[in-house]
Amino acid sequence: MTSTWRDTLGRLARHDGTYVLVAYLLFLGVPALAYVLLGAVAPWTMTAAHYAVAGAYAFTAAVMLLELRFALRRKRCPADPQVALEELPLVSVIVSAYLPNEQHLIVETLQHLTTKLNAPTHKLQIILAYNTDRDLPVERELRTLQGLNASFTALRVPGSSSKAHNINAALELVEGEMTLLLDADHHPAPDAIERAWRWLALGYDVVQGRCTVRNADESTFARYVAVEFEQIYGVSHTGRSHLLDTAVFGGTNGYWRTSLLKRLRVDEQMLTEDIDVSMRALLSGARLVHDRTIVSTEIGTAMFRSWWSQRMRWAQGWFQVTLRHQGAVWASGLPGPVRAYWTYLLLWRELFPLLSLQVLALLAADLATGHTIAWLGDPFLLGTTALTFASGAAGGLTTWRLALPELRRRLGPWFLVHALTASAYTTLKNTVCMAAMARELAGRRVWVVTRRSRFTIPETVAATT
Amino acid sequence: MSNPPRVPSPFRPGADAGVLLVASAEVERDALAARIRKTGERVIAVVDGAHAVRALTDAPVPVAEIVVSEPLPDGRTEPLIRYARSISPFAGLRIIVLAEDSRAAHHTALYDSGADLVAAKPIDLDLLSRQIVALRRRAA
Repeated sequence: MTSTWRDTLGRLARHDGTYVLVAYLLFLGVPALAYVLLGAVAPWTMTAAHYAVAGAYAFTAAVMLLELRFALRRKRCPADPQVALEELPLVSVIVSAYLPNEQHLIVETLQHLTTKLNAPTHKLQIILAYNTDRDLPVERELRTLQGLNASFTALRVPGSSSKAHNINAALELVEGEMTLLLDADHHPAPDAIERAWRWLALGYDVVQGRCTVRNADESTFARYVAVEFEQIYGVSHTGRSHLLDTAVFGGTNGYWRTSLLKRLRVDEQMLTEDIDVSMRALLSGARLVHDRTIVSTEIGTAMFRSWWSQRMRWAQGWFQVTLRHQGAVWASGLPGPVRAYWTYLLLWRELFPLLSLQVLALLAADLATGHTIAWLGDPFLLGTTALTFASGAAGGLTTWRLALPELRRRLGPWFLVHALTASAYTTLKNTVCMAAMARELAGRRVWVVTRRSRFTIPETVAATT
Repeated sequence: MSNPPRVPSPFRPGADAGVLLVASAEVERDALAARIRKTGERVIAVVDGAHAVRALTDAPVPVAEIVVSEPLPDGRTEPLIRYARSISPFAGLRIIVLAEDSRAAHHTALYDSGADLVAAKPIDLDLLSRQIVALRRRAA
């Protein structure tokens, strides 16, 4: 009997739907019940809760508007834009790949790196650090390329089950002064390395470039994600970099001072090792910057299923990072505004999905208790609602304005679609965040390798960290 | 049958000639072809010596330079070089061999058969590009 229960629980624990259900039960059902009970005892608490939730929305909207305002600034690297290519130091490029999933695109990426970048090949060291659970035909091609090209090394990492393992193994071979970390599908623009080096030459330690989706035409979903990426990299990352001179390494198209990366290494236990190493870099006094002119194209998720597993991993990873580093941020010697902003990015990022859901919990409680609130007659509630919707519209407009011209032309109407559906999409992402919290608290850290495209082989190999 | 009369190499900017690239592995062929195209040349890429021999006479543009990446499937780089030298109409035909074997004796044999430059793999791709440009300038 016990084992039957255990089996059933085990089966349920493997499904994300279980965590969504648990999250909604915990963060919607339980609070709604609490509001009903509280409302019966002290009806004013219901009104207070409405104000608190509206305030939370308004605060988030205000920070968003601040980011938008700063994203519109045209901050350029103050260094000389004409870096003589011979002045570049040796630059190492680590491409990490899970080959069964990415065997069909890795050669194209390597060809791009060896032929399209402006940097001279004697200034480039390209390391493909990969893991695979079986021998693959593409490995013969990789050996051929290694035999031809003196600047290329194919490194199969035995025992590796993650990108972090691969990067750490490759770091042992890295010789360059700057290290570019790339995913297997990334094609940096020809001038990417020169542009990034200018920041490092000025004293920055990490430069995050802009990731943009090149397979937007593959599906409706891919178009949507392409617009979202323009918002993330063209607006949000840029806004925070211009606002407080701080940034986050997003896992790919990131340029590191090698000495720092070798000192920190990436933590193989973290689901988002990129955010974790960003935090450790920041807390150790490193300077991070985002430059949206350093462009690299990637294959975005073209299907909802892939999107779900990718975002689940991101959300759970951010939650891990929050648990690990929020206290250290408060205790750090970082300037007050930077600490406050990182609290917004970490703790508030985790709390907001829960708080935002309270609107529904409160409305349900209002219905159940007959409590009414004069929404339209209340200047505070009206104002905060207007601010929230205004931030969404401004976000859409700013994203369109700052998008890469080519994407703006190709995806024009999709910017409008994205802006109009932003609330629903945010609710979906909030759901993922809450389910990810439940997963983390339940100790479930199995994740599915993101399938890049409908046209890549349908690998759904689970890996653990 | 006598050889055709020799004419000067057409390798000068805008000249209607190409580089014959011989490499058996597709991944290598693609990498080298992309590199050579960066120097502004047209590339005729073939997989082995037999196709190379055919391309020397049938290519859509005259072959003024040959890049051979060893190993060829039949292993016969030297006969290919000698044959190319014997039938090419260009006095300035340039032949570069990317040798898999780094032994001096092998390189000497390649030079003896008529190669202009032998480089042991792995190579610096930029250096190869520069050498192609330099050879072209000398030939012109």
